[in-house]
Amino acid sequence: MDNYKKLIQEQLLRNAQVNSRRHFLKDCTLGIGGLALGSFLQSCSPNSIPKNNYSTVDRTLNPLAPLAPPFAPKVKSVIYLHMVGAPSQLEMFDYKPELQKLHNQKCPKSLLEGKKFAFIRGEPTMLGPQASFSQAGESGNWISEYLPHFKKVIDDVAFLKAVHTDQFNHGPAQLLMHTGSARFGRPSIGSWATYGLGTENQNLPGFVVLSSGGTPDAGKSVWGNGFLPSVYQGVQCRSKGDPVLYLKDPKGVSRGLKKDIVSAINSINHQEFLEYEDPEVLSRINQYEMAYRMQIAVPEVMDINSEPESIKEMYGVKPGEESFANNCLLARKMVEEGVRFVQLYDWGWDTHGTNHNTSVDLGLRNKCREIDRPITALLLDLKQRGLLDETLIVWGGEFGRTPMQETREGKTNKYKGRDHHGDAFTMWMAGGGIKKGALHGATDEIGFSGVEGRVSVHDIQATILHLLGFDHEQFTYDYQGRPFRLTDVAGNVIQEILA
Amino acid sequence: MIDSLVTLLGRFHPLIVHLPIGFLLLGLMMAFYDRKEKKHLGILKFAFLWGAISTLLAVITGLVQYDQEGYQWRDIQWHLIFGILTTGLSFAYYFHLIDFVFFKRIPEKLLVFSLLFVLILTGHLGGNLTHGSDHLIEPLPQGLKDALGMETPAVLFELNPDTFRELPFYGGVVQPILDLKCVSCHNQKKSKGELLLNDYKGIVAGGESGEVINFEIPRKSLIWKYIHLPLEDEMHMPPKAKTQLTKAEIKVISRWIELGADEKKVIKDLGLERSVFSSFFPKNTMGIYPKIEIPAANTEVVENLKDLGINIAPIFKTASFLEVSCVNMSLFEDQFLDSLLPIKDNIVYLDLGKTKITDSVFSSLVKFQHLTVLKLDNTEITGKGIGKLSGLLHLKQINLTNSNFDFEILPTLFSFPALTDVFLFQKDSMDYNSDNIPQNLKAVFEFGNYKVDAIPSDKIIY
Repeated sequence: MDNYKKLIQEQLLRNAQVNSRRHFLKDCTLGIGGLALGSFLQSCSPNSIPKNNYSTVDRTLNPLAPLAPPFAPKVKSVIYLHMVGAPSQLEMFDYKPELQKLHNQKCPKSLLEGKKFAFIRGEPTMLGPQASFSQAGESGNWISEYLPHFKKVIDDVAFLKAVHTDQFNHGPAQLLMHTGSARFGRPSIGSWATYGLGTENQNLPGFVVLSSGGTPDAGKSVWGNGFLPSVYQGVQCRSKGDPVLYLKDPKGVSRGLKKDIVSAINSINHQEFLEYEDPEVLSRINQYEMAYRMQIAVPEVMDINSEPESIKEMYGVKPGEESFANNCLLARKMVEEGVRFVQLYDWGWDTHGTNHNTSVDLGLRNKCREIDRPITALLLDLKQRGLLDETLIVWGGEFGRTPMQETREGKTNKYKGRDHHGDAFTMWMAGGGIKKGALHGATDEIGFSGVEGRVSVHDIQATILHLLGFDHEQFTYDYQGRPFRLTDVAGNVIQEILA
Repeated sequence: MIDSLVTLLGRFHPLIVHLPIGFLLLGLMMAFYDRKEKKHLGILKFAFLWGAISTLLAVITGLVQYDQEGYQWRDIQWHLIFGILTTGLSFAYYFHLIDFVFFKRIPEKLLVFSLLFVLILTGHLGGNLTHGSDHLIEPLPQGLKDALGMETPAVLFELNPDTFRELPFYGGVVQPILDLKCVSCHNQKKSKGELLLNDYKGIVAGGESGEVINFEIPRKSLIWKYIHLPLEDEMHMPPKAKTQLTKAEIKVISRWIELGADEKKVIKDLGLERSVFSSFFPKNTMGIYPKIEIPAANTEVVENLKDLGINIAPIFKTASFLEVSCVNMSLFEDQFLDSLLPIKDNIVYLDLGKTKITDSVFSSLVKFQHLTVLKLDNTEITGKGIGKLSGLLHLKQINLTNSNFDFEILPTLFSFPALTDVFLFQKDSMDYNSDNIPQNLKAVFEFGNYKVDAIPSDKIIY
């Protein structure tokens, strides 16, 4: 009996020791902390992955299934022609006779105050336009002698003469132009478009990138998917050699065997998806399937030899080579096949005047000749096929060039050249929903700044999304706890060039 | 000094009103609890004494506020009347409880229920004044509102894109926006902040904080400032709970102030860009497609067709018209068209390009009465029987590029009612004498066959 009492005594003591106030506090705080942690962890669960917030269509099995935009679109596809390196607006579209009169005179200090240039140091002199200009078409818009063919389509085009950007180095400026941010990590316009609209042709990528001359300075991020699922990134196709690398069957593997392999891998991946619901698994499944389908479809569409002679002649293509002309023809073929977004990059427009090729009076003529005929042919070819009304064509660089001769390290460059300049440059758009022959914006007498109708990079992006049927302010993707949009917090649709 | 104290007293009204509501409701609940045994008369007396006194205080502060803050009699009359009635009834019930002269003869039930009624009604009317009369209705789902026949006011202001430049900026654009978003609080009857925004005179006169338009430094104008403040800011206008100005409206009002807030100047004289006004233009949502409403297509039918590989999507998210494309179905044949018949009225855009269709499709295509865009490019179509489509009243575009189109048939298209574009470009260049086309239809037919002729400069390399 005594032992029994002792036992009870000890139990009480133990109880008191364990259930102390200290213990209570410790247990409770940990418990509450645990509860809080539980709610934090929820954001790691696959259920928290943002669903496509404007569409009811289930895209889990096919992330590229075509979708309707929120508003009636004006165009179904976009061909974006980017001249990497920034073409000189003063030798191509922006006619400045006053600048000719100031040629070789010292640039007034007031113009340079508070401005930063990439290379110009010291006191540069003004550099008059190196091309002669004339008015063309019914619109009477000015055009340089560097682009003799382009006169033919000038009435189909709407010029933006006072585009501006706040970046004056290639990489950041290209990123800003294509992703809406000068820093890495945002999705490109093409990715937004394919994310929002999917793509018509299920055997081809929705977003195709074709480059000539070299890769843009900002690298592949300019066609990257950013935080969007990676299935929406641009697919680079080459116009020389294999159109898409690693697409051919390896030696000794038949197409039937390939199909078996792909479907086996995909069924395993699909189980993985059902378990973890990670959209990246779907991207992977889709890429395997698309690669399999593309094996047939891509070589077909990338084969420009199948085009009639008259068309090849029209574009001035060079089969077997990597050229902008080939890419223009390919762009038309892609759009005809229902590709959503075709991005062309042509490298070599950085006309500083450090050598023959980068001079605005010599090298630039060669560059202009390389694009003049193909672009003219592209517009005419789209028109005769009834595709011009359904396609938006955008032309531009990442910024413009100075009205001053570049003085690198304070010394005047050997050849006639211009430095980077973001305050005013020319871009143009053509196609569906665009007012034909329109002219919006104007620069001052020497083409240094926009004085009227200035538009920003975000305005251009807002306009592209508008024509595709989106309100750029509503078209968002939730990431890191907040909605993101292509135009960030800026951008106005450029109504003046809309039909 | 006294004036400001009186105003301050008035401002306490929204605080004090909660006392009688709480006191009297609790008192009424206690009276209900104690209705049979009557054991707690003492505490009941206490509750209703203070309930009555706080009601009186609420009425006094309310009257002060009415006097000081620019409320209109029309808006507050019933709140005031029922407030005074509440005071009367709560005192009456208190006197009833302490057996005061004739009050004890009034039946208790009558007093209790009428007090409950006027108390709740007064509180509700007061709430309407501060939160707006749609405060409780607004969050209801739209479907329920429609079912109850409640109207959601169309807060819409539109400009005619062709004639808006002739309008005076103030009278044609700014005032209508003010009428929609500001005048409900700044009018002759209820002039919050003693500011009238219902006409130009009122705007120029300003309110209790002085002038609201600064003609010298427009951006220092109070209106300019208050509409740009963040929504959370106390001074933000319109107040957080009210319908907000849209971005475009803020822009228009700001531009008007920045341009000198003139009463008479016409838009075209002010040199304003079209983009400032473009969001007020009526939205032409249907584009080239028929402007008629039809029921949406059967989703089951659409899903089944999609499973076959046909692309089907509405022309935009909420539209019932559909765009159909067979780009992924190169084996599409004439008889497949019958599977589209269940949704034929919904199809406005039909892309049969690069498929195996032949001329016999035309007899089926006639049934697609809303068809607007028809693509028959890169097919074996020769055009035999295309005349049957002349009954399609909305057919605007036909694409026949790279088909086997027989140009002898072309004149049948002249009688089509709505055609705007026919694309006829053929791979093998063809000769068609376009003189045969009536002058007014010349722009409709696109033969293509463009050439970019070589010029000497193509060969010069610098």
